[in-house]
Amino acid sequence: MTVMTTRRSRSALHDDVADFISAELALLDDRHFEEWMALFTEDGYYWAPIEPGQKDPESHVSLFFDTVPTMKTRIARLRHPRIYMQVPHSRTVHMTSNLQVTAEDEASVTARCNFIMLEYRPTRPQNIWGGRYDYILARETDGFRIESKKASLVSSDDQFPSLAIWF
Amino acid sequence: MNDRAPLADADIRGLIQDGRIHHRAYLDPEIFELELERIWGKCWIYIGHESQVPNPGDFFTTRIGRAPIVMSRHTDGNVYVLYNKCGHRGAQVVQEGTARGNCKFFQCMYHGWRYDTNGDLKVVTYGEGFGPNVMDRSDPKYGMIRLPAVESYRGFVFAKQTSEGPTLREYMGDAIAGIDEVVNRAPEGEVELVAGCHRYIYHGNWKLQADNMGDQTHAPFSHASSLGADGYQFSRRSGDKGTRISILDDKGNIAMHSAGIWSYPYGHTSTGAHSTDGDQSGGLFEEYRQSMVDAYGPETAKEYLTHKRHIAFFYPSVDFHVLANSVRVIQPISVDKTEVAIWPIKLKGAPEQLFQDALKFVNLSHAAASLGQTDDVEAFERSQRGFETRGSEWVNFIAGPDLDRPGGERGGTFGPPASEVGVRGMHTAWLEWMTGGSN
Repeated sequence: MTVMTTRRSRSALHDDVADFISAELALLDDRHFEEWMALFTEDGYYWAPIEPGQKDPESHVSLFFDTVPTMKTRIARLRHPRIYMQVPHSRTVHMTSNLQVTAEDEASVTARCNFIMLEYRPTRPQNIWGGRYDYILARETDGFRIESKKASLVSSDDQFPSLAIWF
Repeated sequence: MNDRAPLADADIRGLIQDGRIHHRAYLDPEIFELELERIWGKCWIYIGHESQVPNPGDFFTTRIGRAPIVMSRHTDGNVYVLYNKCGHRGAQVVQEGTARGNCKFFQCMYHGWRYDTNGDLKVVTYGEGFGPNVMDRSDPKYGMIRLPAVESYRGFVFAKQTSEGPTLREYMGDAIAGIDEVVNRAPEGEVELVAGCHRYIYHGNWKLQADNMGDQTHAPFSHASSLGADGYQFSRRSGDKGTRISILDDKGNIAMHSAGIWSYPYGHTSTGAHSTDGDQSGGLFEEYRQSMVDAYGPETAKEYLTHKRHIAFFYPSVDFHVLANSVRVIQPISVDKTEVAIWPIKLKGAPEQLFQDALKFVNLSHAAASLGQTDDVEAFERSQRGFETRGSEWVNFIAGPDLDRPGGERGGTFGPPASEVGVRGMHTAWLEWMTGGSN
């Protein structure tokens, strides 16, 4: 019985994390950028390294390293009527699979999954971005908030066209 | 693809008239092939920085146009720039995906010929099977061939695919002070490229990126979306409260924020410091300022920390960005496709935190996901499309010729901020190289 109970609670945690990530990505795809940003803790960040195995965003360039203030700046620009590189704006669909909750304690949950993002900006070739997400989610009374999110693209050290929307 | 006769010099001369350049210069694959031969094949081209290959056996792969190149540090301590090609059957020896590494020797994966890290041929496999008198193994043509001219300036390595023409110093002329301005900001007088690079790609001709280097008037328009309500762009550096780019003045009018543009022989250009490239301040910056004072004394430190240039572009391949503390490298791929790499510069002897901040700011200013460079890329791609129209097939760089004057103590030719003197200088150089001149 004990084993069963544990398994059931782990499965519930897995489901909670999966639901959270699905909801998070839906906010991006629906362009609810401000609500998406609100999912991050005050000192949370979203990081997309360039170098496979890159240790930190301080010693090497990154595709992006967005703290919440940076997200604010980026979102203000995305909302600007004259952001010419997004006229018309990109349409995106994010998908995830292979979710694993790899650690948990009272304060936080660590999880990883794979992702694919389709991005199409009318008149431009469709982009397919993919890789792995690593999350550290803070447990708060009303659910999870993102302490850190990392997107490790399989093509992270390639050349890139202009990027506007988060992976 | 077309049934036109090969381009004669007279045809090429007809592509530039009174500051205007014909669409064909940006569209025609035949022009692009000639550029690889006559510009990228003859000018001094930026390769990399010595700090990318600090130890014997270190190597770094890059390209000049389509040609794969490897820069290496040999056991004699010298830096070599080699064509990345086997002297036997011509395969690329060092795989480009391993952009950086260390090895005792280069070995071709095809038949195993082996080379020293200076390109000398060391091992011919199954050599007895070649028979006598077939080849002189000491003949450089059987090695990984060295580029005929390699020189470095303050650690930045340039190479040329011909032994003819000017030395690097002659080629750079007075414009070379732009490199000094960047490197002098290091307390140890040296810089390093140790944090990798951003790489962005656009569907447009390589000259569009070059043209943008001498352009001061696009910012209020192209970069409108990165302006805050106060008319300032996001902060880019530590202590940069007052040095964000003010694109609007206090009354909300568009500010002309540059001291002007300098144009130099061989097509180099440099834009003057923005009014907002002024002094930084704050705790971290004070720590850095003190390290400069300790190294150079107060007067020289003050001079070195005073911005004179915003950028310094060395035609056709590399831009030293003084404000963003980075090197921007142009690599043409095809007539309508260009890759650009942005390498942040580490100032040796400056506080570590200063560099970490600089890295984050370049993420915002010049990366593929940046808030600034992406606007320029949009302008390049729209230009490339616009060039497909008929009616008037000319791109106009006509601003300011009557306002040109001698460049004073910085040399060259000076034009006021809205002048297109820098781009006109590039196109003059283009015409000279493309019609067999400039040697």
